[in-house]
Amino acid sequence: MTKNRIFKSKHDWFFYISLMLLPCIQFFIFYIVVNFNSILLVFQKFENGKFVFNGFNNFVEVFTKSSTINNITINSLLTYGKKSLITYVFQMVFGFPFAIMFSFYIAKKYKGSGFFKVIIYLPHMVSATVFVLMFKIFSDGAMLDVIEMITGEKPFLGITKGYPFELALIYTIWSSFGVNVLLYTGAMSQISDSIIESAQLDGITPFKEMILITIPLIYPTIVTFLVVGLAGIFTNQMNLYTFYGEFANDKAKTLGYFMYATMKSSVTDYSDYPYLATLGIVLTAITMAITFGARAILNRLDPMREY
Amino acid sequence: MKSKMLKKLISLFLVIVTAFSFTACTPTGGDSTKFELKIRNYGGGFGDEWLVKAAADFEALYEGVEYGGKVGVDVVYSSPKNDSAETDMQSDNHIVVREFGDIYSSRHSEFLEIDSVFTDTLSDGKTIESKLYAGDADKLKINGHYYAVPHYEIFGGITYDKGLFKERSFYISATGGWVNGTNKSVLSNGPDGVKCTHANDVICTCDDGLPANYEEFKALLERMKGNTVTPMLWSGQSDYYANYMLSAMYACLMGKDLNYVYDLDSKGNNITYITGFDGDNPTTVSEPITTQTAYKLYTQEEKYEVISFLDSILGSVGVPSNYVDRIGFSGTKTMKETQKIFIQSKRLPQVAGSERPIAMLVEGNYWTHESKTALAQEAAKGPQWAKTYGYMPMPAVVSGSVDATTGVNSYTLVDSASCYMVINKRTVEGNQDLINLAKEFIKFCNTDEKLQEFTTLTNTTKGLKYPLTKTQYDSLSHYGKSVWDLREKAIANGVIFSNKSANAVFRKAYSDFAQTCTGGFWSSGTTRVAVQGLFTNGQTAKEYFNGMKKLSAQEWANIYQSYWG
Repeated sequence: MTKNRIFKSKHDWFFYISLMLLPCIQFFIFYIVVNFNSILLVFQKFENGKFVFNGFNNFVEVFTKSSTINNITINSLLTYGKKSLITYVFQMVFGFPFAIMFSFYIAKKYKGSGFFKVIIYLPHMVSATVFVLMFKIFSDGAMLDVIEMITGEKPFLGITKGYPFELALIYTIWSSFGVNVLLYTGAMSQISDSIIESAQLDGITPFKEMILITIPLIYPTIVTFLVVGLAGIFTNQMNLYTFYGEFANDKAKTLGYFMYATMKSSVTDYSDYPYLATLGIVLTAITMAITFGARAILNRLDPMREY
Repeated sequence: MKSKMLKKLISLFLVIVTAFSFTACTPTGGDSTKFELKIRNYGGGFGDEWLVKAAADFEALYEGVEYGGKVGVDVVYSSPKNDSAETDMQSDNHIVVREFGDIYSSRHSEFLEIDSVFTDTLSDGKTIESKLYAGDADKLKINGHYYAVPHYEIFGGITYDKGLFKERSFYISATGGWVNGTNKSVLSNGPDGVKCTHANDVICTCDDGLPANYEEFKALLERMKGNTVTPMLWSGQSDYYANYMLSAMYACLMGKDLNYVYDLDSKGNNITYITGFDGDNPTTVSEPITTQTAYKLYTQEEKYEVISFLDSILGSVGVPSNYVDRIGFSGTKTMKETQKIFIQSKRLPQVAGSERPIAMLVEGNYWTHESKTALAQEAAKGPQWAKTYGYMPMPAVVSGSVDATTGVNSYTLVDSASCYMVINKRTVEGNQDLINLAKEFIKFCNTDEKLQEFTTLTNTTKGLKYPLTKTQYDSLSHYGKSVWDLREKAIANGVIFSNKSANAVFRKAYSDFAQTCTGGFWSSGTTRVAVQGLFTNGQTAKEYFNGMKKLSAQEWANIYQSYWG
């Protein structure tokens, strides 16, 4: 039995190296180099005006006791983590299926699909800050009037203050809809017409076409979306910073917002950096495990795998 | 064809929109035949009229004068509202005027050392150094040098509608009843414990008849509510402004003792701090602190008193006390909209959430300048709508009476702006002509004449000592006079403070002790806004206080030991 050699010649090696060099350099610069100081901070503490070695004590602090960052506790972190997970789940349960259905509608060029495509993607041409502002004004303006019309009373705190997490969640799902639809539509347009025509000759209904043909054929795109979403689960700050700056209510905070806003905060100083760096590393480790696990499972579930 | 035309029209529209946005950011001026001095000014509540005037007058000084190989000077300035200190310092401007916050951090390395600006004699015969408040020279110096000249001051706190107070009899009489304040002799002595000596027909800025302790304050709120008036308002969209009230109340409880916080040393005098709670009652210890034991300041009793007071007047989401207009809790109104609602609340009560006139506004002292158009428009509706506002001194005690000695604490003012004029080292280095011109401009802006001009234009003050002529004083609004008079009393009694300290540990722990409405001092857990914790999230004062940052002796030493030597 001959050994299956991947690289049969020097040319193959050269090709492989040329292909891999750029991503490796990119990974080295934009992950290792950029984060090098953060990685060092994980094992340091700020004492007597400088960072000194602190062993694994920062991990103990993250997992057990409260930090000096305004008494943040493990319970607060778990609450923020729960919000991050809820966001992902909602994106999957509501954002994902609707995006697929809508993309299918557009890809099939049903009535008004061109118009809907423009309308859905139009918000992405406006800056997120402007759009968040419009969303806030709409929520605390027209939306409150509608609620008052229905219930006879406006919520005391309004929408932006009374329902900060719900508002950000709806905005996140809605604002990511356009990008999802655009990319799914792109993937769907790659499906060979002959496959569709053949299925239609066999009398397939549009619903079955979507479930049995379209989704299996764009499965790699779906997997990419799911995996990328999982990888960003703890960094997703749901535009909370754009909505509320440093002053989002505790009820709304996700881990992504907590990390980002704390670093940006004027009340954060050097002594807080090791804690934040350690928390970042811990979350990276958790995310890596979840992401690789999910990717492996999703690849196994690929309905087109045998082909 | 039609679609091509549409595309062209859309493209043209986008180009115009983009061009407009660039135009909006373009600085004024730009005469290449003159020597150029670029200035970036934070264009928030204080605006830039003072700079427009100063720039024109400075240019006039150099008209036809050869300078740096050119004839004349061109001051090019811009006043964006939202740029950060980072953006301003990274810009190509030579002078930056803005709220910098902590200048003791590495930021000061971006500033040019300007000792000569402080020690040179100005055209008014004085030096900037001589105009500094007592003790500020040491507090401003970093490694023995000056880098930043104090600019405007923000005194956050409560503005009250004196017309409404009079109309509805919201003044407290000497016997404990309510009067309209027309007869000054029957008024209580107010927070400073001193009887007003002005005649009845003089509209003065004395505090007689205002609450002298927290019990009277609560009674006033209840009286207002009972008289179909909403007691107070702050911007819900920027609810951290409510922290202004906390800072003002805390400062007046502390008085001169606030020096202990800025010095992180009580010089052998006792401070009272909370060590725990017995049920809902705090257990306290009174003892002196030094820098080594200053971690005890994290749990100061005065902080708890102020938080308790706020908690007691808020109620809860389910059962709001209605002492604060609902606008203060929802995100519907911006700062300027809130100011306008306050101004119009008597004439158009339906625009306010509670549909009642509003008696007090929690804001910074710049707000009347920020809303001067709205104030003028309201006054134009008829003389009955013209407003007479006053800055309300806060009680110096939680309960009981005050005398002239303890009442001095009610004059206490804390400037939370940390606003400075600095020279952007990166943009001037190597160009001595430019450095000299930038220094001259800063000196020019801090002559008595220009300081007075700033005050008369904005009805606010700069963080230096300077007089006002009678004409200048008379030109101020009543609100401007009330702030000026209180500031004069604060200076005279040594109870004017700003976020400056000569103590090396304070400089490192700046965000923990500086009085700002957005800083760490009033934070609890990860909640930076007391109203959010106490009202929206339903925390009790005790829970909120327990969530505030505190360090153990060991943690304090670990972080700061090297700075106390």
